[in-house]
Amino acid sequence: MVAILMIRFMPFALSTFLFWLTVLPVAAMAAGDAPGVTTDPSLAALGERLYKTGIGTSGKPVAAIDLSGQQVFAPQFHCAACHRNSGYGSREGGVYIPPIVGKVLYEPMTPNRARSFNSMYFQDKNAEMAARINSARTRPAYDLVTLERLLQTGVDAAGEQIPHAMPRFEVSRRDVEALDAWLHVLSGQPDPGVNGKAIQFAVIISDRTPELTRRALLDTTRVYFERINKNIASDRSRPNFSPLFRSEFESFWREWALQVWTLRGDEATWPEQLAEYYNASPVFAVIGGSVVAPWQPVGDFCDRNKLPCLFPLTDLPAEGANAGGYTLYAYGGLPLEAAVMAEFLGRDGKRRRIIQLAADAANGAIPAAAFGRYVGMAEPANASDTVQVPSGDWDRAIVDASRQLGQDDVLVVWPGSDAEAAVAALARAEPGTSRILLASGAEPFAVAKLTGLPIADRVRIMHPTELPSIINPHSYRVRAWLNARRVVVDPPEEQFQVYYALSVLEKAVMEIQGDYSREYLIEEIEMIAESNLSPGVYPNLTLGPGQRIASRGSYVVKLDPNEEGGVSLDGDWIVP
Amino acid sequence: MYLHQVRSKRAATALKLGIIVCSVLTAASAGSQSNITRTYADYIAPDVDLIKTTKKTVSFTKLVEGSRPVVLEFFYTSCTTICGTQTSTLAGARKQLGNGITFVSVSIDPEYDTPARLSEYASNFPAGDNWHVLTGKRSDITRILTAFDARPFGDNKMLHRPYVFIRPADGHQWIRIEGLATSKHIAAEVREAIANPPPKSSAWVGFQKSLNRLMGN
Repeated sequence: MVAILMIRFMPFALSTFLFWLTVLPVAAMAAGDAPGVTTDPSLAALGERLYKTGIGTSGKPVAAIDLSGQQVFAPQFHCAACHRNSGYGSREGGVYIPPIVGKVLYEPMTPNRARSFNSMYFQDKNAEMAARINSARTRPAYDLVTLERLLQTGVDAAGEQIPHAMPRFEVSRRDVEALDAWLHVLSGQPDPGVNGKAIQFAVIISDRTPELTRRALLDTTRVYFERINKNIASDRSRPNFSPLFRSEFESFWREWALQVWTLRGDEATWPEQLAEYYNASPVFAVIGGSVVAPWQPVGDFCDRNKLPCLFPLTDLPAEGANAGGYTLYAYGGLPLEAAVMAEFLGRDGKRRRIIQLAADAANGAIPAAAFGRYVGMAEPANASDTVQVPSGDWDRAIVDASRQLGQDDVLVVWPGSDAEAAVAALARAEPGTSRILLASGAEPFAVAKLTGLPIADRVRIMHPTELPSIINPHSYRVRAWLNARRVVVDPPEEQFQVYYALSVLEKAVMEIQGDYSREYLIEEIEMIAESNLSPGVYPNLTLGPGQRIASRGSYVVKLDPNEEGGVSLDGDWIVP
Repeated sequence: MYLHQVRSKRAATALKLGIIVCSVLTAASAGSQSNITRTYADYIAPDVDLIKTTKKTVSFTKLVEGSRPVVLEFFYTSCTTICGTQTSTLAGARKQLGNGITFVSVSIDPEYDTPARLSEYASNFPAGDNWHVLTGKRSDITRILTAFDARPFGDNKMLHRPYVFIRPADGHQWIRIEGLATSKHIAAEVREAIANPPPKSSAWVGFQKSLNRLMGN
């Protein structure tokens, strides 16, 4: 998108030159392996290993030679580190990493303006490089010999030296054959969920999703899809509507089609229901979603199908959420709050007794277990007892815990969906412990019911979102956009998050330029997440290669009737 | 007489610059150093504490404002393109220069780059005792990036640039190198900076530093 906007401002001469380039033959865009090529699966597997881990066919690491001529074995020098798992490359730090998937590498490079767009606008160029990129750069298709020469000496198929940002490699002929086999199949076919006309997306909800959240999710998503589809229809209704730039990308555009997958009944049956939905009509990616349960079964489904799941509204991410699965999360959820709480408590280095009262549900048990682990690992380690509290039993549980705890001890409350009842019980019992720590979900009730009570100055609440007194200017734009389309903005935080997911997705789909690879989509989102799209629900949303959680910390706040929202900071933003 | 001295000094400086430009151009013709810029600049390091791989804190000002030569870079561990190459380059330069130089690598992705992750990253390169691989609070790192005029466009780390900053000792300007240089090039720059230090920092910068110290910033 940035690139597309930039071309508006190109000098006329260059625009004219590029226009003439478009009438020249363009590169083959058809998906699939190079014609007539068959690949040996076992050789391709060795090539994949070399591509992703740097281990050669001999079973030993292949040395990279950096621009200073030094041998390096670091993961930063594996093929996938720069060209990424998709093979579509990246751009960073002024360096453009070109695609090396089979359909590009094993086809002659012809003057294809769409394909060279990224290199024109994202490569760090001196005059020599700029001239080379802006000229009608061509090269023959790679074969085994030229691929080997490229890897070993940095000379491309046209006999030109490539930039030294790419290391040279001490590869054997067998290594090159394996890599060649892998590159022939890498991202060889478009992923499911997209055809010549439409790209399918799903929103996943459950029969537990509150009506307000369901409406926020679906209304926002529908109007966003309508806007995109209207724009596409409008452009297509005027042939050659913009001969100098956007019309060239028209062949990449697909209408956005929305599916709503509603999960019902027992969570144990959800994988089966998801498979049924998916098999009936595969989608390219899942957007937003709210299932009011752990995201684990949905996350596992997405990982199994290599299906991007973008920013679900959940405070219970799947286990190992940051380990590189296919779900991208806006924040680390209740396990993150547990880690922040443990770090907050550990800052004064005191030993004390801790009792956790946890709702008898996943949103009580999961953070309580995580907190127990974190305080156990901290220095000094603290033991914590956890009491599962059935709904309606909060008064008894809090009174019992208060009796057991001394004035230097700590009471931690994970109230789950019983936040209102748990806070009311706290107001009645007024425990005498030094600290009463609450999960973020209890904040509105704590502000309403505990402010002004004697225990108020001992209450601390996790606050992973932006402070109420800070309003991101972009949120006004999003609110106005929704109001203009008569979408009720309530609750704004959820709608703003859905809008963020949609705007990131739109930008990523624009950037992948018709290369419909899910891996590529995620890689683009990793790059885009930090750009200026966040409406400010969280103080910072950032991703990077392989990163899966965009906001990784939390504030700890205390009750303060003089501050907006009734809370003020107790210390800095904590990243555990 | 005075004018003559100034002219001689200018001529010597021009000669030095000419030699560096020639060496850069020679390297460029070999295809390795084709896009490197080198400038002098005055920077005031903010007085912030950063976190080492050992989880201990260290004063950034104390690290970079001592009497030892300093080489500073910004990077992050999950970077896909230039960071590994640049860190590898600095590791090579460090090998050539020995332990007398302080190397400082500051992560620009502090919330992801925990001390454990930094430690794993550093283990891929021969970082030694005098190589400080650091993370910290986002706000503090933003202050450092701002001070060194190295904030990426839109504060998006994916748009960061390959910078290396070199200074022989406090009181002199920094040499700012933009682009992927070789370890030989960096080592030569450090040696040259020690033998022929960059211009002295301006009086204004000295005043600002004194003021900051007084104000406790």
